[in-house]
Amino acid sequence: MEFKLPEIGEGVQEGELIKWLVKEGDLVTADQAILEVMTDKATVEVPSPVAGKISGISAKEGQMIKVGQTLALIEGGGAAATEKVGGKATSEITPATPVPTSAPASNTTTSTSGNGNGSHSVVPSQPYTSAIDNLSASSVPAAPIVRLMAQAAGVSLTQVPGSGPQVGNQSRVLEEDLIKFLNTANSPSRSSGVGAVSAGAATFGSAAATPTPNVAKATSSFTVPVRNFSQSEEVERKPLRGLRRVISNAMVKSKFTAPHYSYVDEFECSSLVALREEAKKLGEKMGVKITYLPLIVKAVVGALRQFPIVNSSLVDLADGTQEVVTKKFFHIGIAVATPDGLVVPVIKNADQKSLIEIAHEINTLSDKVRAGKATSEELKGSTFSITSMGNIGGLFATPIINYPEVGIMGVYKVQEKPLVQNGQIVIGKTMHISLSLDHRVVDGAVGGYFANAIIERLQNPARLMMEMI
Amino acid sequence: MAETNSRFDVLVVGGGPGGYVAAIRAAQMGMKTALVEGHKLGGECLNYGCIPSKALISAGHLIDKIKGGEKMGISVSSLEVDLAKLIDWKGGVVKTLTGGIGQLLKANGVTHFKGQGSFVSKTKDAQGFVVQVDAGIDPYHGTGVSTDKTLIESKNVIVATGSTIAQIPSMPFDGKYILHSRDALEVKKIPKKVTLIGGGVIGLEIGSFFAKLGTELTVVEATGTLLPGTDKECVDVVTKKLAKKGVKIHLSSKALKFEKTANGTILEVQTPTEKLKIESDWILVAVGRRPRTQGLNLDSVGIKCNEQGFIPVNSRLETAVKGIYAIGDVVGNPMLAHKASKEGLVAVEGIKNPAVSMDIRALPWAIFCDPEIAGVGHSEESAKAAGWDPVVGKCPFAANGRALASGESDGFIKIIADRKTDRVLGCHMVGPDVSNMVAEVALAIEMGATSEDLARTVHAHPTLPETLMEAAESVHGLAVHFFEKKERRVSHLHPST
Repeated sequence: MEFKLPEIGEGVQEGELIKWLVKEGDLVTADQAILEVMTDKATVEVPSPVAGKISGISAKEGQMIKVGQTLALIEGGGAAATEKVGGKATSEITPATPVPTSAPASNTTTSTSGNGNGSHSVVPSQPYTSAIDNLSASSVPAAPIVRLMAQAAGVSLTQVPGSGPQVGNQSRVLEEDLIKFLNTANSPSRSSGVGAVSAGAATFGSAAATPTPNVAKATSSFTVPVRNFSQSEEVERKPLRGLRRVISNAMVKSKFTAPHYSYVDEFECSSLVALREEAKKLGEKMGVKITYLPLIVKAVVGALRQFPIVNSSLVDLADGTQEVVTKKFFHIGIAVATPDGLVVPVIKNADQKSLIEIAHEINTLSDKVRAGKATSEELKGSTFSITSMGNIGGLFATPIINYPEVGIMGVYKVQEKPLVQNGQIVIGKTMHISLSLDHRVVDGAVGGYFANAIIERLQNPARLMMEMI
Repeated sequence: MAETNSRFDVLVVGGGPGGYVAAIRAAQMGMKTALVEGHKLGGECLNYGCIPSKALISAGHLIDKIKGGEKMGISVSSLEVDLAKLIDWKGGVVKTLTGGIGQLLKANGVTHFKGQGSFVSKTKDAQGFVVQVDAGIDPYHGTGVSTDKTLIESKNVIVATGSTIAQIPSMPFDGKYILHSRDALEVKKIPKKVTLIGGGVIGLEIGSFFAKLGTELTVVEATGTLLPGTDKECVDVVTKKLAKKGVKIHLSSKALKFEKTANGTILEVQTPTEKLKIESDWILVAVGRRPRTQGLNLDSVGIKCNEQGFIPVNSRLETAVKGIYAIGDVVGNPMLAHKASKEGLVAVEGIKNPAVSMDIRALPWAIFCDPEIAGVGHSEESAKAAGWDPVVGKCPFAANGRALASGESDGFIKIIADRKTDRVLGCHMVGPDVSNMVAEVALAIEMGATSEDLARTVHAHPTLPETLMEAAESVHGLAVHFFEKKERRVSHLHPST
């Protein structure tokens, strides 16, 4: 049967194929995970619906795949495998035998003329029938000029990964895809022989202008005009994929959409430290590790209630106008560093949860995120985010807003510092906080008052307690 | 006997739409090129085929338009057709075009040898071929006396000698009673009655022209349909219109024998039900064409034709003999001028770069009957055979404002796309000016476009190609300008429909 990408989350239409967990020829059982797909935020494992043998894998790692797109065949996979449709798909997806795409494939017309000549060594020996409708189901979508270039280079377009728009389950092969393929797929698969190309990309640059690419004698081999890096200039190149790509896109979107400003303050936090020490001990008895974060979450929720505008989003409408959407719920995102990159799990309805519940949720969500097991549901919907750098150090940072939220707060390590109190230098405990806010919605004064509201709660636990659930 | 002193890179034998195009392209690519043509430049297409027949067909169309003008309040008191003058005008059109070819060859530096070209041998160094040109012999008719022979050496030779008209042995062409298409395009007097043997493309195009002049036309076709091999739904539209015009059509019928009479001819025809005797001024026989290789002396270089007389070639259009290529009608069906031209270009490119071979995905075609039929790519059946899962979208011209406003709303456009990938696989159309609309679909197929691509391309209003856009919408059940009860299928914007 054809294995298609099933629904992988509500409203999710596509995702990036991160990894195949099986290869062609592998036997799989029903429900065995066979690939990993990353959607907007979460990476999910997709199980096989049936037992069978994997073949005809037609999607590549790093490729964006759509729900419903055929990704592979599962042979012997239940009744569907014997259906006519399944049988047809085999011929469609399995990469054709290494015949140039140009070969007049299964001919569709009745002409029988011009057959029966295969005596040339130079020439692909397919017989030519002059009634030529070569649109077979395996024909790669590519423009005529790209096909000519492939012919001239002796390459079958079925080998060339396309980056153009999807046509069914194939991606259109563009001129740049072919050039890239020719310049990277150096010697192994293309040793010499027919139509070896001598000058790489430069040759093809002119191909479109002249009827025939300047393709050299059949004997010269393909050489790539690659610079010779000396050892000190060595680089490693990795395609921007997966979580990195998601983060990259999200950061660019945020920074180029929302004009950020930063607001930084420092406050005396010995009461907060004392409260946390107390809570930590209680938590240990209950089996929950309690950090500063749950307390900070509570302080932030209180401040958001006081300044609802910081819990909003600026939304573009279809008619070109915009509106400010202020949320009456408080979903707090917590930035978590993972080996693959930053992920932000969400404490939903933080205003309705107790400290111990929030602490527990932060701990379990962080563990899940680090293990790559968080669901996309657990990673979306935050209305304001907090990033903690306390365990790393530094004075403070200017974090980037988790767009489309309008604010993010950074919290930093607790330090002992000399303070001046009543004309005396005393040793106190201090902490920095920094806020990045979207000036389109939150003005500087509001940001300052908002910071004060947080500090007021953190500095004075009694104040914090007034709002506790 | 004269001998040219230097060797050519490319010698093309035959100056039709395959040969002259190949020669010009070879010269453009810097190859020393010669062309042998002892008859007229332009070949069958320009001199006796596509161009002159279209000139007459456009005149026939004008007659129809004038006659149809009454509905619009335009009437002509007496419509007279001076066929002799029309034929002269047609000759002028042909002359303009063929004269242009001579100038193009000259401007591109192609040497033109006049006469019959034939192979002599390989050159002494075996790196090329010796071709003899007999000036004075007209290769078209195979007539004339050799007056002067020239030997030409060329590294590569492209055979582009086209095809000749096939005849029925029992009814040899005589130019008076039994006419072929070429004769029919020179007739100076409007015949009262004409019988057409062969309801294929050529016969029907010319036959329809005479029907428009007022001639009583009878068509005798051996198979069960007019235009065999063409989409049946399209043919039905044409058959209906012919019948409406009073054309008698005998399908699955055989011409048995004919006799000459004082007024013309009587043809005995066996229809499925009876034996008929059909009187007519003359009989037009249009039963096909066969490859022209006589006089080429292919044996001398070791080329053998297949049973049907075609020269076998590979996908680079090269024959079994390295360095000798063949293109156009002489290598096989379909015998279309644009196929010959394309093959000529590919052959020349292949000479320059052996990696290049024929790589087209669809060959468009057009039939200039009334209304026109055109198509490109797969039919539903051939698409299935090629491994696709075809879906059809269709839009009638009756739903097109421009067609109605022009008084020509017969016909439809039918697009065939793949169910799963939505790629455009083919298109068949019948209706006004469809020959000019098939190019868009050819490009779509070559580019691997989807029917939704066609549907989403804005088409100017009010124009006939809007019908194409609607047919593409109909693939998804989303046609706007006519209603059809049809499953609405997933498109990019309507994933839930």
